Amino acid sequence: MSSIQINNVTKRFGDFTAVRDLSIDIEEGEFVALLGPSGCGKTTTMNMIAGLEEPSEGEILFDGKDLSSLRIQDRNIGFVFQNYAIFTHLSVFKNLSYGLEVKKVPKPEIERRVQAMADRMSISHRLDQPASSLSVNEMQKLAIGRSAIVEPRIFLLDEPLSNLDAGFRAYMRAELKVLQHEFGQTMIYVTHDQIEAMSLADKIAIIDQGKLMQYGAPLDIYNDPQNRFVANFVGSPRMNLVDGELREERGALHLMLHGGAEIPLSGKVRADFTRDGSVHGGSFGVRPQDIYFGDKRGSNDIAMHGKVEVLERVGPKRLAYLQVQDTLFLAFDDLDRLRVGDEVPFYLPSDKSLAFDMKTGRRLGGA
Amino acid sequence: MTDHTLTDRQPTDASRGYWQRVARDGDKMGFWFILPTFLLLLFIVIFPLFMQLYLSVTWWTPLEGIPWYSAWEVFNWGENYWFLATDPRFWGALWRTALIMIVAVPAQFLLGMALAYLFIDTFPGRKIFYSILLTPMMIVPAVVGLMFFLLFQGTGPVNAHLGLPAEFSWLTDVNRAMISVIIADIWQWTPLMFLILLAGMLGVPSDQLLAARLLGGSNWQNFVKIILPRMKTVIIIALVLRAVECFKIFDLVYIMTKGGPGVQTETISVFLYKQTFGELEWSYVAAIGLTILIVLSVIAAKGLAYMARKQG
Amino acid sequence: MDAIRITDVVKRYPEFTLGPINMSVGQGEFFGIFGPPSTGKTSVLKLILGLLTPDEGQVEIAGRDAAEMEVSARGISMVFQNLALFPHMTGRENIIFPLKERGASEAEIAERLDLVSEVLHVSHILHKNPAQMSGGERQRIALGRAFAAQSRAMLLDEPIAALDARLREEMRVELKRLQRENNQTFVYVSHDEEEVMAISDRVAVIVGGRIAQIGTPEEVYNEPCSLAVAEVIGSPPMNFFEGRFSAEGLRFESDVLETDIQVVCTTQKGGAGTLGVRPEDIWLGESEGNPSFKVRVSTVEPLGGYTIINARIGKQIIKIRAPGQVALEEDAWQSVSLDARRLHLFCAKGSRL
Repeated sequence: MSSIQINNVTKRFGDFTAVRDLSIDIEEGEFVALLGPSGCGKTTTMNMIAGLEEPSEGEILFDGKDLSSLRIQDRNIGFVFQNYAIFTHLSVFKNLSYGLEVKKVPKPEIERRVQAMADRMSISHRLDQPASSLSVNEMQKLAIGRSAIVEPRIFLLDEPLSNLDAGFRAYMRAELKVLQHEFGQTMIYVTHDQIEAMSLADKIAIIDQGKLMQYGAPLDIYNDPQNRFVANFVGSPRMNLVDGELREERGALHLMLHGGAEIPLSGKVRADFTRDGSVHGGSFGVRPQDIYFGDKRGSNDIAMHGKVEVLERVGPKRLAYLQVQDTLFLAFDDLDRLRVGDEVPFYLPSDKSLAFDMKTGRRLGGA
Repeated sequence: MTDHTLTDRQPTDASRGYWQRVARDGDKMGFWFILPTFLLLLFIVIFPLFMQLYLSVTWWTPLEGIPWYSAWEVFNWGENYWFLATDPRFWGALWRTALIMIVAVPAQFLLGMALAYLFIDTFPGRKIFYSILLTPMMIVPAVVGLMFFLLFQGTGPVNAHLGLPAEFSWLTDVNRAMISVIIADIWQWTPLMFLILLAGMLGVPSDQLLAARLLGGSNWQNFVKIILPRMKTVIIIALVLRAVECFKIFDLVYIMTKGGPGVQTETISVFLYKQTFGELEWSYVAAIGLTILIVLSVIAAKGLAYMARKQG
Repeated sequence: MDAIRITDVVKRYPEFTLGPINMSVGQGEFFGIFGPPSTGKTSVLKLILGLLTPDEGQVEIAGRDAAEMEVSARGISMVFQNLALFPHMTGRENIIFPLKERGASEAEIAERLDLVSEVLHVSHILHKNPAQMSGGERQRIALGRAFAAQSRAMLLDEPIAALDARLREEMRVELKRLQRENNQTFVYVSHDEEEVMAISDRVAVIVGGRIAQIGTPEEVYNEPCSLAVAEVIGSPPMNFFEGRFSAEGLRFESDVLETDIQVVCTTQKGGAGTLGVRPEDIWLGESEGNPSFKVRVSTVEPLGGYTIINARIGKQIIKIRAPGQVALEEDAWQSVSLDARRLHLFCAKGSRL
């Protein structure tokens, strides 16, 4: 079990910079998710940790040591591929035992450990069958078991749940979390699905276009996003983020949205926008569950008016898309009272809304 | 269930004309497309085969003075085959041919495998080496025969390099002649083995190889446990292909030794050639040819059966 | 008149039989088909499109029997799972392809192209080849091509499955608006339950080659008519407890929960059954009038707006969905209660009671 320090790592492929000056500290036994949209550099980062790519600049240390002089087969790094890369010509048993066989572990011990791992992953009834005959879900478990059995110093998982159907994904999320606690290994998990990252990770590193956007515990990132990108990316459903220019008019401060509507600012969020005098435009962020209908609750809450465009059922809740000129706000229709086409007033609580600078995306104001 | 069928539409009756219906029906269309090739095959392969069978049970030669289809007049109840069984020249040729095959084919197989392994990953100059490696295969076998004929002359470069006297003959001594032919065959056909085996190796999914490395497998271990098992079909193809071809070896032998001295380095093909164009014993040749055909077919069939089993 | 009607259609495959299927899609309806992978959902689309012919039963398109209609005459366009974009054509050529095939005039082609590229935000990539586009861009071109044809109905086979989670959410809204604004009939197939439930006016749930339930997302979610449906609808999935009904049908005794559940079940007296409870209907702490019991917390998944708690009861793991952000200790005991109004009961054969 190792700790990992990624120190100022940059990776270039010709003209293209995939990873920029990335620095992340991962402690022993931590479960860290690298989260970001496709092409953001998270897979490249993971490949560099595994030793499949070399950083152009910077270094990656394991327990303070640089492993780049070691060959790939000597690094003892567990890797679960997105498409599992199961040895399809071998049996399930042989897949599990491969890592032990190449280390010349004695046969009785191999038998014992393979059986134990198969039991742990609930695939012992398939041990003698060809690995190619497994269902997708079972292949997933085999891929994990195969890597885990050699007790690697760290575990890297590349979007392992993306091929699974939704029901099994929820089940595997819980399983992975339990496994990680049991094995106690340092795990690094690459995904573009923020639900996975939030539910599994001790810490999440959000990456966009090669740069680290924020690194912290899931709820810290959720409650206190440091920039617009993070606020947009994390949370289901996504946060409402609307952009516009600030305009002062007779003492009142409005955010003139690009879509044509305007938000009259007041209370905490207004203070956040005005704190830095150089800010002229920004993004207003408010989570769907914080928007409410009916009567105004806080004196500083912002009143808006919109038309119900779309109603979506998401699990137990109904999501309403409210159209204000050319801008859409998402809100929860908790009381199930809305119909498509309704014109309704709704409120944005100023103390729960967030302000971001237009130019840099930086969060304005504190937590 | 993964549904691989895109469509199962049947032709409707609402189409007039035979050819319109053919255009809609995959099976009927297939028949007409295959017909020309089938007719070709009929004339070039099947008809001559029956002709060969027919002649092989007669005494017929072009010297008899009767046209071939009247060969029944000299019907001999398969005495040719009886003669074949006791002909020392035939058995000698058979033995020598088998010897060449048994030595040359595995040798070029191992050499080809080793070279293919080196070529899996890229390295500087790979493309150039690749082209150079393939050249021997592309030279006309007769020319290769001539090349090695010149090389292995008593006064030739081989003896010169080995410091051997001109009397040390490669091509007139029976055993050494066999060795020279084998060497020539290996030189010429290793590139083919290399090509086929490399294709087989590259067909192994690279992420599985990567997974094996990450699990701690060394290059050799991964080769034996991952690459080799997945190449079984390709290996069989390569071996059967070359074994059958090698059995028919002619150009190299004929040009390097003419089967001599006497008949002591004759292979089956050389033997048949001389019988056909020298002694004009055409019905005997037919019998031999048929026998060889059966032997080679058995070898190839075994190989195909193995492949069919592997495909599942 | 329904846009598409499928009556008693059966299609036999070596591994399983699809059908009998009965369903109808109204004009301008967004109809979703959901089921686990490889259960015949794509085959239903192919039966409508005409690529497959039913072994039994009838497919009607706009009132006419589809068996008499050529595939190209049905007026249905389809977006395939692998998009099937023409790789040698640009985005623009792909989109206008159906119009050109039909022999539309230059003016009409230009008009449709403008409309489609504006709605799908693809004007800036029309000149590119599919190989040069990102996954999301390719998806939109494929949609554009199906849309440009202005067909009677559009069939979509997991059209956004290959996209990132975030992009999928955005595309969902776009698709819905597209459909509504043009009053198009959409038949949408997906194995992503959340997606289908969010976007459809009505949903057909296919399990084991048969339609298990058809209804609005509300109906299917709140009143699943069978265990099969209840198992697949809902993320995280419903929790199930095996047990028995008391002789008078007034109580349900679960093997796992210590307390009996008060039920009023007139039809089932005695016999085995299953109790289903959705994660959001399990509350933390005790509550008045609701059955409660203790569970052992296993893991906690903080998702920001809500929290999913995996807890053990006996050998079983149940999932609880709690609003907001909840901090619980692992391995701690926690009492929970079930919302008595939202219990689902299923008889031994699996149908709803």
